[in-house]
Parts: sequence; structure tokens; C-alpha cells
Amino acid sequence: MKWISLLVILFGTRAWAFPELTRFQYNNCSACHVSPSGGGLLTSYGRSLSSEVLSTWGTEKEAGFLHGAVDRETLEQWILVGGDIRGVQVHKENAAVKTGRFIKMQADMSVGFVRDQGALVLTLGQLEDEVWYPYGTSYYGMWKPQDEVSLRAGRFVPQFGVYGLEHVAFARSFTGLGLGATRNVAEVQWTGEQWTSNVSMAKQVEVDDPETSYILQAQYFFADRYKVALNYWRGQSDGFDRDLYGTWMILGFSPRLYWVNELDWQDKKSSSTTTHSFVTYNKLGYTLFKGFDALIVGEYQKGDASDTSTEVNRYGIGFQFYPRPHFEFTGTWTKQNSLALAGQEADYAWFILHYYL
Amino acid sequence: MKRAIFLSVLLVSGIVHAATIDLRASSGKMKFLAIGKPAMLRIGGEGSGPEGKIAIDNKKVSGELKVDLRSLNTGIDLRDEHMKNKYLEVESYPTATLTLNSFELAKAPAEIEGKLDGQKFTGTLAFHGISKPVEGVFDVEADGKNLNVKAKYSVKLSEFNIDIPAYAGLKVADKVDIETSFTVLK
Repeated sequence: MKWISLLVILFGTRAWAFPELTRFQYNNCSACHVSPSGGGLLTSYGRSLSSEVLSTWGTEKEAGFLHGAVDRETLEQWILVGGDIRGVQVHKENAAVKTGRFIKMQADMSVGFVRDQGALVLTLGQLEDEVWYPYGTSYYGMWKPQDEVSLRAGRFVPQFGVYGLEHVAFARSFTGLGLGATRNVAEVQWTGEQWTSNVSMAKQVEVDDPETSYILQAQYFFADRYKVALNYWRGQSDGFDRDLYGTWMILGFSPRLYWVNELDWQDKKSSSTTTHSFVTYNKLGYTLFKGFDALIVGEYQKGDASDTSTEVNRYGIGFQFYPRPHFEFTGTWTKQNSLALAGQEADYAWFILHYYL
Repeated sequence: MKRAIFLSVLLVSGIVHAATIDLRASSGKMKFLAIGKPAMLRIGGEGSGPEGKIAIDNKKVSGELKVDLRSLNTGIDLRDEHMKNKYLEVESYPTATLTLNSFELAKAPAEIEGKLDGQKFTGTLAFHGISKPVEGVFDVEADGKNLNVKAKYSVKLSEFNIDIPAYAGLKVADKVDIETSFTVLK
């Protein structure tokens, strides 16, 4: 069952963002999400976009909270409310084993008091071993002294790498931004028309040897559909210190065709060893019709640059289907191989069902 | 005799350098860029190219560029509907017309090689039922026998009695950048 636990870690508990929307000129996450880093609570504009751009069918009204049952304009003058329910059907198959199961992943609710000058956001609810607890999983206060500047502090996921469906990727566990990725974070962000940059300080919580991190990120949006970024992460704990260098890009070749890439390199030192490692993630997507994207995914990880037995390849195909606002289905089927598996390929497939309030 | 030949060359030269060019919508396009706040969202769109006439007399340029606002497209249907019907009111004001005051290029069109950027112009923009003076620049680039021309200028929506577009918490900045491009024979 280790592989299922691993999947839980990889999927994490965060709501998704859709960075591929850069191909529609959406250069910053904060048009659709309250959080400047994307994901989580949707803005009113983000809800409209879910029906207008992401979904195959649907109306502007039904994109609202509870499918528009609550008068949107009245509600959103005061608060923004959201929530996510998510589960995944996973499947693994190789010469020795064939197994699958459904895992409840996420059930939480978010509430935000949002004004031009800032926001207070709280997300409650966490599934642990499929038991639900009313914990505050994420919360922050944000102050925006200017349109371009935000200062945010609280418990949330620090910004590093692409923040999207790629949570299932090797890169998430590689960077340590899987399960428990929410950390105590203080962040300053400058959001411009083309340049966006942020500086963060983060501290891990609820672990024996918490890592304190200093993170830098710079993103550049150009030609109305392309985004490239550089990241740097300096982390220290009692047991190790690490330097993490990363690049990522989202290239919207057209409104239908896009490519997402992340590449991270890590130097990690403990008392006796220094390990160099790297990981890359690639996703090529093509929108066959509004709301349905066909995907080709490819990943490569080398846990120790000096040891070829630590290489792992994963490649496959997938889809994203958003039939109506509030409903999202994602499936991926991949083959994975590595020297450690003595050349034995394994099939991994997962099908994620996501419903948001 | 020599004098007569020299005079003929001058006259022919003058004819070559003076022309009135009819512009067709298919030979160019009109683009705009607005910024949506607070997310600093870039809202861009484009439409068909300008129709009208450009008069060129040696280095002097004047003319009229008319664009069909009904052809504007931002890539998102709902946004287009709001833009055209609620804000630009294209049923009542289907076109925008830029009338150029006569201005001089640094070089005559036939002499332009490579790029000739930043040629300042002034004119009058008739938009949403209101006419206001505008100023901007022409960027010209030679491409074989063609000249690719871009007229760039900015407008303030409030000056043309257009409500500042706002939707679901996102508000468009008053200033909108416009680029009208077309191609003419050198």
C-alpha cells in the first residue's frame, strides 16, 4: 500500500489552479483566485470564467456558489465562500501486482472577507486516513497597499514551481510541496502586467525537524500567451540544508495548444553526504473542444545525479474534462520504469473527481 | 536639352512619390490592450484592419482610418458581448475613425529601408459619438515592395463618454492602448 500513500502525498490537499489559462492572456492567478499564487478560493471573476472559458456547458449563474442558489451579487458584496470535495481512483499494474482503490482526498470549506485593500481567508476541513477533522488547513491575512503589491502572512503553500494539476508530478514530492505543504509563510509579492516577483520566508509545521526556507521567484509574461519563471529556495533545518533551483514555463502556442514545463535542481547536504538531484515535468495539452483537453505527460527524476539506479521515467497520456462549472474530471495513464525496478515497467493510472461548491 | 531631361526626371519623380492609397480591412488589423485591475490582467483583442485612404506626397502623409468595432474579438464570448453591447454600444456607434492631420515622415516611403519607428502624428478620433484630438506614432517597416505600417496611440475611455468596464470585481483601467496596422505598396 506504500504506493497509495505516496499518491496521497503527491496529490496533496490543495485545490488546483489552472495556469494554462495564460493562453487566454491570463497572466496572473489573482484574476480568478483570491490567493496571488492561485488555487483555493475563487474570485467572482474566476467563477464566471469557469463557465465562460473552462466548461463545455453551463451558465454564468450556475457558476456561482451552490450553483447560483444564493444570490451572487448580494453574497459577494460581503464574503466569498467556496469548498472542495475530491477523490481519486488509482490503479497500478505490473507483472507482479494489479491493484486499485478509491481514495477520499479532500473535503474542505473556505470563507474569505475580500476587499480591494486586502483579504482574510480561512479554509477548514482535513481528511486524514479518510476521517474528516475540522482543522484550519490554510489561513492567511493579506494587505494590498497598492494594486501591484501584496503582503501576506499565515499558513499556506509557499510559491515554488508550477501550481496546477502538476501536484501529481514527481516535482511536488521532490520539492517537498506535497502533503503538509502548507507552512507558516510570510510573503511579499509584486504583480505587474508582465513581471511578477515574490519573496517568501516559510517554516514547516508539525514535523520533528522543521525546515526554514527563503524563497525567491520571478515570472515574466510575454507575447500575451507565454510565461517563464525562475525560482530559488534556500532551506535549512537541524538535519540538512538545501539549495533548490528551478525554472518553469507555460507556453500557450495558441488558444488550444499549450506546454507546461518545470525543471528543478537540488543540492542537499546532511552531516555526512551531499546529494545532487533533479527532476523535470512536461505536459503538452490540446483542447479538442471547450472543456476537454487531451494531454501527453512526461516526467523524469534522478534522485542522485551520480547514481543511474535512481533514475525514474514516467510517460503517458491523459485528459482534463470540465463538463459544467463545479465539476472537474482528470485522468492520466502512465508507464513508469527505472533501473531500481530492474526494467519492469509499471502502469499507473488515476482518475480524479473534483467538485467545488 | 539636358535641362529638359532633368526637369522630366523631377516631374516623374514627383508622380512616383505622390499617391492616394485605398485601404481595405483585409490588409491589416486593429489591436487594443487594456489593463484589468486589481489583478493587472492584460485584456487584449483585435479586429479587422482599417478602411479609408492614406495620401502620401513625398514625405507628407495624411488620411483617414476607419475601423469596424463590431469585428473586435477578445477570445471570450461573454467579454466580447459586454464590451460591444454594454460599453462601446456598437449598434449605435459601429465604427471609430482616426483622421490624420498632415504630418511628415523622416523619409519618403520609397526611400525607407528597414525600420522607421516613432514617426509622430496628430489627428482626431471619432469614437462613441465623440471627437477628440489624439496623438501617437507611426512605425514603418519595409518588407520587400511593401511597407508594414503601425499607428499606435492611446485613448482614455472616460473622454469618449464610455463607462469604465467593470465585471465581477475586475475593473479596466481608463487608458487603452490601440494599434492599427496595415500594409501598403512601397
